[in-house]
Amino acid sequence: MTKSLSPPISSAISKVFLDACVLVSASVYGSYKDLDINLEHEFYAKTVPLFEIIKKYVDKRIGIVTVTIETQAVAVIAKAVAEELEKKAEEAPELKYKLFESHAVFFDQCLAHLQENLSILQREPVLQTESDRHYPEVAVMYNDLQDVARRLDINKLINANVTRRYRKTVRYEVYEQYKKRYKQLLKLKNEPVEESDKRILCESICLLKLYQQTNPNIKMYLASTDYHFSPSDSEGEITKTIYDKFQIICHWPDEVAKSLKKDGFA
Amino acid sequence: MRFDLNRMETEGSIDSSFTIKIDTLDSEFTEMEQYWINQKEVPVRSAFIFYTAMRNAKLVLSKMKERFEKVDETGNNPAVACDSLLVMPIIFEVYQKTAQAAEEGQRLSPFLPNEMLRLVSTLRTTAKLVRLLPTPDEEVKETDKNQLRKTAVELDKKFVAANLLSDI
Repeated sequence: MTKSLSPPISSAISKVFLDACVLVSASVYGSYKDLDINLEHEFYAKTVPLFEIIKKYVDKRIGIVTVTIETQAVAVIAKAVAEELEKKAEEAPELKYKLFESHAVFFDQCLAHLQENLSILQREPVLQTESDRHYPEVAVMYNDLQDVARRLDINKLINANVTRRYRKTVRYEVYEQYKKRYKQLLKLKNEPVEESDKRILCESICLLKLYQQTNPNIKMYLASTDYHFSPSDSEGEITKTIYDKFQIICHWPDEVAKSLKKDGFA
Repeated sequence: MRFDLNRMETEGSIDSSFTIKIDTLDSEFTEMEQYWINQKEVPVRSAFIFYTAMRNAKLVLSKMKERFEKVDETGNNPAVACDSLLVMPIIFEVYQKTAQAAEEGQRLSPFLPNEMLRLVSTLRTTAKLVRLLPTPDEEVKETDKNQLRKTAVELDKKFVAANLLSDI
């Protein structure tokens, strides 16, 4: 009797596009136990579960990046280290040699970690012309959200939704609740989306469309620590709009890892 | 130097005087390293990348020298010559490109620092594969530990600080 084959795991139709900030968070760490020295990006721990899954299922090619992402990740690390070095060297020019050396130690470590991380990710080619085709739709989406954010007035919302007699008593609590509820929009109001973010979203749309040609049921995640994509505490209007318009699920790397587990990547 | 390494590989024995040539090359890199620390013609970010390239080449050379010196104890003969043959061409390319960057000065091509980053990455990966890259602890053996601690704290804060992608 032939042994029946196990059914293909559903997670084979899940892909995770990693934002440059996730690659940076996963690569910025360095530890020298003997010297009691420890450097770790504040979001490093959030990236660990995702990279564990990607590594475990490396043959499924779940984790994907593009040249744009790789270039941005290196640029972010180089910029941060060089800016810090420049500042310190101006403050203490006599320490220049030591400063170059100590910054290079961590820079090399971070780049080595970045290379390790990239080695388990699939680098996908994306045609610039294809990516550009999605730019207008992405730009309009962010412009519309920016308008909503600009018009967002929490006091008006309170006046409209809370009975006059309670307004004074509960205003502070309700204000805080609304602030939490619309955190993503409020952040967008203060910090408009960058061109690089729009490009990243365009590339992920391109890739999703490409995968859908061979697998219409594919699930596409965009792992990011940037609130221009991922929710910030609350549900998030930007995240929801991206999903509604492009079917891309944006979330923090640890949350994407949880979803992947549900998809079958235990 | 490649000729020497090829000869050692063919003969199957190590010439211990090769360490003198490593020292000469190391001095060249030290000079170049100093140049990039002190130069004022290009932004610190670019200078730092070329400095890092020199430092990495020196790290690989130091490990190479150590293995050549210990060849009698380890019986690593002629493996160290074969391993060195793999990294030497990359080291020379690193040197060549860094020298080119120094010549270009203010006219430095904006692509050269990124090209150098890729080359350094290739150097480190290859050197690690053939055991010619010092371990992280060996790398910091001669580094000022207090400065290292301070830098770790400052960089930690720097990465926490802001959305660093904002103005690339």
